[in-house]
Amino acid sequence: MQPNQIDIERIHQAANFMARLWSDTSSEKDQRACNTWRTSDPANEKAWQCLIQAQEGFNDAPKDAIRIIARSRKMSRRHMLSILGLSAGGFILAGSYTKNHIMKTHSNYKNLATSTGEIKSLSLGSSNRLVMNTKTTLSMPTQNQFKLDEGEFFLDVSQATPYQIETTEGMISFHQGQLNIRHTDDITRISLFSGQDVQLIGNKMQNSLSIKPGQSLSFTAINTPNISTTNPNTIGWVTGKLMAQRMPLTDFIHELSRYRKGVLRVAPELNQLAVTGVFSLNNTDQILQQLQDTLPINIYQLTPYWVSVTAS
Amino acid sequence: MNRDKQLQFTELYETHQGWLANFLRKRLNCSHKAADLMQDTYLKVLVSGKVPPTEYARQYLTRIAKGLVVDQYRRWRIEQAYLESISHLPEEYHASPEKRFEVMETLIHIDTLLHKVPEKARQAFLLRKLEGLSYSEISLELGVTISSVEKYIAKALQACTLAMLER
Repeated sequence: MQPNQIDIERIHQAANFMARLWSDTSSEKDQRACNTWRTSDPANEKAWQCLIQAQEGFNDAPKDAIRIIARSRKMSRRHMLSILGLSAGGFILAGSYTKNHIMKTHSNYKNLATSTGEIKSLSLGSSNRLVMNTKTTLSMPTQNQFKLDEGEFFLDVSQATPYQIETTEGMISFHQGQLNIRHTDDITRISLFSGQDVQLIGNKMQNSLSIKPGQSLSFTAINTPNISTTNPNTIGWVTGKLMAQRMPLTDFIHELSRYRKGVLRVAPELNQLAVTGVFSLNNTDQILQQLQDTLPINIYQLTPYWVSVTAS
Repeated sequence: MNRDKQLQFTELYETHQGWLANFLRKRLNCSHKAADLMQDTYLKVLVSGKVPPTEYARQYLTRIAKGLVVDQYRRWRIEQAYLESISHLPEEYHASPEKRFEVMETLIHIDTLLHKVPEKARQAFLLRKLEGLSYSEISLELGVTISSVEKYIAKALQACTLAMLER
């Protein structure tokens, strides 16, 4: 809502009245003048109510809000950049969609799992973070080891730490940066978005391989690995979003089904259709609706757990 | 969104996502967060339901992206100041993550509303609103006259109401 010129003038007047009434020396005369102004025009009263509404949030402020805000305003942009380097991904940056956990001891982390549609963020010490995607089973036998049975996780490691990650297909060594590991459909895909090179050895490989920042690699237990460029869309889930750029509809539905309970089927001939956009994962029904609104398809819901997508 | 719009949006995404990602990466110094804000930028376009004409597309996307970067910096600096403010407390006095999140959201909300208010007026308003100080106490605290305090308060009330309406 953009206030127009008249509203601005009324808000200005309302603010003057309110500031007068708050004063140590406000009189009955001031109070009467204010009441007269408020009742003389419904638009005046509306402006007055806007002032009250704008102050609602202030009641929940913590005790030292003044000092925190004043201090935060002294922090420069440069300072921010250096802080960012140290504390990328604090508990706040994960946003409101992912659940955040800060736990003290490693013992809480031994066995980790997420259910369908759940995205969970955990801190590993003060400056490293682990985010788990839907339907993921992960364990941490020690503080520096991960064992991924199924699913996907993202590591944001700003304080260099020697991590060993084991999947069904091989072993990965990782020290610092932003790394995504996904193991679904018997394929492991490793994507290194920033940081130091990652070393990898597959169960059937003779020698280890190195992955550089900006590289993504898929491998199975048998096949030779396939290196490509990282695609930031693939980690949209870290912020609760499914992102697609010209993705065949069939692939898109396959991705979507990971976040949804029950069966989600798509007619194979629909691979001709492409999806582009950013979709919020906290409502998969809405995503299906959006697809139906924009593509020549029908979505049949026998029950919420049995959905099929066909050509219209 | 109809088919035409969907096509326009696809074109907007494909033509501009490259430089937009670079633009954001330079400002944020982090490719992951840049990708994140880029998606938020397009999400805003999607939600608005309006795809800008080609000749203004760059300008339009830049404006949205800059706004998001400003929000992100606000989040960072307030988070940092808040964490500093609780860092001297023993751990058992720390609030739960959920509570911290709420406090952070409140602080960000307040900071956003007072965004355009000059330093002294902001202090005067917060001293009155959060600490319940009288105008004479505020005048002593800030070293200004009582009538200035009243002007500051009026200014802050006006600015934060307009900021709320503009959101």
